[in-house]
Amino acid sequence: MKRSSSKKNWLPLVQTLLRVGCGVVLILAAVDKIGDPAKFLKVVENYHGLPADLMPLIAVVIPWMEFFTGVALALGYKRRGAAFLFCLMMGTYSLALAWNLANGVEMNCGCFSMDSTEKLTVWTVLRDLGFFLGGWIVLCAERTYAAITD
Amino acid sequence: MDLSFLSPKKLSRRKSLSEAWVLFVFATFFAVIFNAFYPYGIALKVEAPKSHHLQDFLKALKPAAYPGWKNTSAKTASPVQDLELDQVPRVSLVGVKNRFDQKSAVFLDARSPDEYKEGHIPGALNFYAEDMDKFAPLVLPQLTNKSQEIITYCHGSSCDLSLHLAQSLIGQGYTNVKVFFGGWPEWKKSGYPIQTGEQP
Repeated sequence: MKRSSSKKNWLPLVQTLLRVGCGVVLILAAVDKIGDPAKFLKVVENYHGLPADLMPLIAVVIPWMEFFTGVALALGYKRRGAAFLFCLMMGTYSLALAWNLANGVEMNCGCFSMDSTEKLTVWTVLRDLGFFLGGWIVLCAERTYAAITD
Repeated sequence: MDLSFLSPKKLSRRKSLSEAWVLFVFATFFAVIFNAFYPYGIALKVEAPKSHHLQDFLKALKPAAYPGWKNTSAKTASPVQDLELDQVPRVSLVGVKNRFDQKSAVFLDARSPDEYKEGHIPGALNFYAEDMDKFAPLVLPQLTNKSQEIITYCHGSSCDLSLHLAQSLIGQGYTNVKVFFGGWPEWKKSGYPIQTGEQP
């Protein structure tokens, strides 16, 4: 009984911190891409398997998707939907990065800064999977603190 | 170990999907409208440049004069998708710079000789992809090792020359050909070393 009560106290707090953290990460990731869609288009083109006709649309929509999802998570607005989109994006990114890694394609991740010379490694994939797990915990949360509409 | 906090409730699942849909639609509309008015917005419709369009280029190819160079003009009658262009591996600026530093790859500049003279990646050989008959005898004898890593580049994402040159080389049995999709504009913009004139 005591253990259950203790869990009730810390779990929403952890979920709240994860929610805000995921939101901030996503906003930071979006800002650079929103400013220079042409540059982000090149990053998108470096990823294999995407239909060429859709690449410009993807390059335009993804940064804003990240931004609004990030804001929604940080403020706790439509938290479940935002967390679902967050997981969807992180899952897709992880798969795309893993595919390129497995195929020996060296590329800029383009995850946060497009000017970054960060080389794509297993850690990049694991980091995105870590974000996915964080988003999943937020998605499954019954409630979080400091939210507009939880 | 209680992992119930990792399991979404039934109600949450429905709510998640509906909220996600609202966010997705809103973000998509906002992004498209913002892009239309943003000074640095990009064209959403893909239009290949007329002068470098792959299909026109393939039609214009003549039979190869260089012995051993099986010109891909034989594929002229085939649909472009048969070339499986998206199967040509690509290399990013970082990957190109690593290979440049380690001298581990041969660079082929698929642009015209005039553009090559104005500036190219140091060490890159000029293999103008619109005049393969002329350039194949000059360049291919230097590429005797068919497993040597070869990286082609041209004007960046707006041009198909590097992609087609790579495809042609793969067709010739070169097994490690990649395309630097950012091409010359990205290399030049990054401030990395450049070489001018006819010399590689």
